[in-house]
Amino acid sequence: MSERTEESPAEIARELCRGVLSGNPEAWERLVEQYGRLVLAIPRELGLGEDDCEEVFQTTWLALYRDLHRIERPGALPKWIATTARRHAWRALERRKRDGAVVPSGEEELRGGAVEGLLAAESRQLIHDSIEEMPGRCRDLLLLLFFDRRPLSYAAIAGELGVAEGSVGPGRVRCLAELARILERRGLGVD
Amino acid sequence: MRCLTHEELLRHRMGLAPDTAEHAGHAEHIGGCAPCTGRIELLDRLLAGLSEGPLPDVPEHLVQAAKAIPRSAAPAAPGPLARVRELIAKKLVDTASFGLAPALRGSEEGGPVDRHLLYAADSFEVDLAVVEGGSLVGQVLADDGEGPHLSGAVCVLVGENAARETDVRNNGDFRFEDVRPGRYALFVESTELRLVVPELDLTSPT
Repeated sequence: MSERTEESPAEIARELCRGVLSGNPEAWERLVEQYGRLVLAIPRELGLGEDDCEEVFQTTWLALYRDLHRIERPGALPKWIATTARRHAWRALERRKRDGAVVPSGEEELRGGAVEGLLAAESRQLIHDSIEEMPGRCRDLLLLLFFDRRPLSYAAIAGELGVAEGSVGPGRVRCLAELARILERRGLGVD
Repeated sequence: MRCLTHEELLRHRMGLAPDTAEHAGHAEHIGGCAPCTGRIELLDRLLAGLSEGPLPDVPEHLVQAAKAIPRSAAPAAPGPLARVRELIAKKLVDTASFGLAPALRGSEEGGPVDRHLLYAADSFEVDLAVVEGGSLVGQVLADDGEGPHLSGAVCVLVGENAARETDVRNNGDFRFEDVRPGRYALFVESTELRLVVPELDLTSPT
């Protein structure tokens, strides 16, 4: 298991912005991989159809590519991406309404529920980014516990990590507490 | 009585038994303590986020299309977007910041002005006022006769909860009704110009 030093999402965003602006194609591809799920989750949470979701996804990335050099604080890139996707998604929804298309549910009901969903999508991105950047064994433990698509028992997780099964439960609480401290510093819960 | 640690609060929220006698003795502290309440909200959000798992994957064709943008949007072949002039506006005046009396625009805007903000970008100014009742009224002004840039323009107000769009009238006026306190971004867009107010903070008391 690799040892990592903690690098915040803001630092990673700064580094990726610098890479893209200097013409590094790998930096752009990593940006798409890092934040693609967030961009697509936002129109989906609004209940837009797949065609609209795809359009929002593409226009958001086009806008990012076009405007990246104008972003004064690259550390705020994840927030900027979410805001841009939200803006394009709301406009797609308004367009559908103007066209007379049936929107997924009553407008107020949709907006009330969707707002929670949009914020949840940003929170989930921040949580995942923070786990990915945690140093040491906590990162591996939390990824296995919460993000592995296989249903893993404590015994299986202990096997993968090479630790005693009895240490997985206490480790879960300890690592979640460490993650909570990181998220507190990074502003989860502060809208 | 001390605040509980993240570990102790986590055990509480996850329904696990207190791990120390001291922790058990301080459990009653949770209900009436603002820092503990804030931490509990964060932990609940964390646990809810984790229970959802990762955000869904993006179809591969979308990923590849987004990755290809630098190649397809190369400056050598400028598309329609390249002709749009984009300006980022900066704040010049905010009556809420300086305790100034707001400008007297009441008679024109249909009510007393609670707050007045002025943004500028290049030769353009965006004049905004929060009027009594919560409406946001504004006007885009060009000091060098660049009116045609605004022909057919729309104004988009983007908040955390929603985005709203309205037409910009020929004289540059626009208006949004019932704007709630919050943080927004404002975009004035025509086929030739995109004027951006990136941070419009309407949370301050008026």
